[in-house]
Amino acid sequence: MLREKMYDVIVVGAGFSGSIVGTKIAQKGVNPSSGERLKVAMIDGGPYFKGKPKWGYGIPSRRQMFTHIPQDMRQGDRAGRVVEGYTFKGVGGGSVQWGAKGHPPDDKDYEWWARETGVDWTKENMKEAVREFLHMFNSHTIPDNLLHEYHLRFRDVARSMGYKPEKMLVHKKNCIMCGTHAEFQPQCRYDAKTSTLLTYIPIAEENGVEILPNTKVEQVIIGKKGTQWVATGIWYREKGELVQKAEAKKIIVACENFGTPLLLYASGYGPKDLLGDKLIVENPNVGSHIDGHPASMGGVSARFEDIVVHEPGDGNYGFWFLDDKDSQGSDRLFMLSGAETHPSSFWGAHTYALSYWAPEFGHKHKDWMRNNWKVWRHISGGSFYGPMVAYSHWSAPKARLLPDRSFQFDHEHPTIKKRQKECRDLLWAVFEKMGAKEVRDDPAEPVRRTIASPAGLRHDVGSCRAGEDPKNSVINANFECHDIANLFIVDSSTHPRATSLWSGGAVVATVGIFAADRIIAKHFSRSQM
Amino acid sequence: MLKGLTILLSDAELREFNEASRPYFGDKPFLQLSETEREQYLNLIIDGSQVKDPKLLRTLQKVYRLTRTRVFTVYYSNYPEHIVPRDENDVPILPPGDQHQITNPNTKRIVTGWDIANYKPQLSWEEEEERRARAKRLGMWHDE
Repeated sequence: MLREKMYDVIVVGAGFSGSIVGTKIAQKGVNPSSGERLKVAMIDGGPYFKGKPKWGYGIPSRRQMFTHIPQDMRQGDRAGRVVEGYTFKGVGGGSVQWGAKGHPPDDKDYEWWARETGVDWTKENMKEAVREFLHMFNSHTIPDNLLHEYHLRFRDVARSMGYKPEKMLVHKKNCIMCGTHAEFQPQCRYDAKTSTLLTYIPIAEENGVEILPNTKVEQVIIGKKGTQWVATGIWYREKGELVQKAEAKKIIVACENFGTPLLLYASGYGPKDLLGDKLIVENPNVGSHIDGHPASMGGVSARFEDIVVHEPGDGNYGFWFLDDKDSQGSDRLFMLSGAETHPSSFWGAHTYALSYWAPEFGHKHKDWMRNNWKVWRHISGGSFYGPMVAYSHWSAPKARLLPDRSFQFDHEHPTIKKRQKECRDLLWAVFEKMGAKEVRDDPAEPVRRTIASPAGLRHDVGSCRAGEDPKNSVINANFECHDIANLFIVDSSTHPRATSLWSGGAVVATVGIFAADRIIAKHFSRSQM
Repeated sequence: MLKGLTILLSDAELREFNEASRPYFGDKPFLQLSETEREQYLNLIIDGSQVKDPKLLRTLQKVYRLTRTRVFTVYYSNYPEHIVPRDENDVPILPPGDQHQITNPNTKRIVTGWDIANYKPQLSWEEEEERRARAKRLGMWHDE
């Protein structure tokens, strides 16, 4: 119970970033004036599946919770549990482990972050964070002999076209290759995807962090000390309880790119035009500058008759390459040989029912579903349908999040249209060279985009971005809020710009580790005494 | 099955969809069409060339696409067994002694979406053990 307690640190949001930063502060941080260990609370609106990981087996609570029915734990448009309209993925978050793949920032991304807002998040400064990320998440690549022929063809074609394909980094341990690992779920039944629930959270428990699941933080309490605005605590509500108050010396908000600005809006911090008379502290950058990867850039898929998969393997990963338009990496396409290439590693049978190859409806549709595969988990024949993931990285228009959780984003912007066309043409050419029997445009993509991601973006970042100038950012490079003392933000919302590889949790985790190290060094180390 | 769809579709849009069939099917709304006529109406919406009002066509195609997505998503998630019963703590309620087959067992009494799709979503314990042994043989077992 938090009631009537005073903490050194409250971390709001025990997802990917929050669990990393809270764990590291509890493990390595000390009170700078007394040298004593810190009292840390980690709060999350979602559930907590507690237990030490048993890699490749899973533990009963997690095995039971993560079912293979997409609608079960998944509600709304993002995996997680919906409480009063907000989505909570639970303690440990849900990013790297969805696909269990991704890369830390590319060299050009570090340069772009500095160009965008002046942060010193350089490759050199972040190298220790990258090293820790790769170690903690057991990052590795899959040997060629476990990749499907589809990926190897993609690699060979990319090389023949003058590109430099590289293997996707995967983050898992003792994967049993069940064939359902890319299902749209935030965890793995067998504890193979290396999430923060399995890596950092057990360390948090060992270091006495108080973890409060199913607890919704309503507001950060902002008061005034002299002329300075100061964060002093939170208003929160446990499941079925009345609103309570908790105080802390430092508040770290880690509710991800959409949740963080919404909490700050509710706390009275943000743009004047959106908050009106609820405004306490003004910063027009809160909720703005949202960047990300458009949910679909290619809109093309292909059918192969000469690729047959007999055995579920480790087929979700494959190769990627970048198509750069200039030496600065300012305008680049990222091409990946299928995020969910193996048919049974899709999100469930319904994914095939909705594929662009399935007849629209009626008996034809049902026959196609009945006859297309023998048994999905043990493929024994049939055509192979090859998806490919692609997205563009460029200086596109940014989105803005409104307090009602809607977005302002121009999907019809000429830059987006132009890049979609370039991307589509490149995908088409690659598929043809790979020997596809048939290549099709994807007619249903605009609708799918509407359902999957209201902003039409994934790997979204930037709603509370870091920068040197308060005029164009919310926090500084040390993750301290420009306008409110003792308030920190550590999550995807702080990234000045989306990175150019398959990013998601890999970059979030890297920046989270980096943030924790900086916050400890500046606020919770003996050198401060 | 249509729960959640109302967030994306208004009552007015659904009414428009129901009424817009009248000019093509003897003044009958969608709900009064025969199965064959409904197929014809849906094909007419997909094709789009006969609907001259672009705003109306957008609405009809939106209703069709979103409804199709919703129906297939639920049905091929093993409808009507697409929800795992849970207790007050959100823990799935399993048959006694069941440690592994957490998904609702497919009933043999009715044909579900999974039966039609030949979808087999769950590994048995024996299959899991086989896969662990395979991962070890392939050198993909990183530690205990």
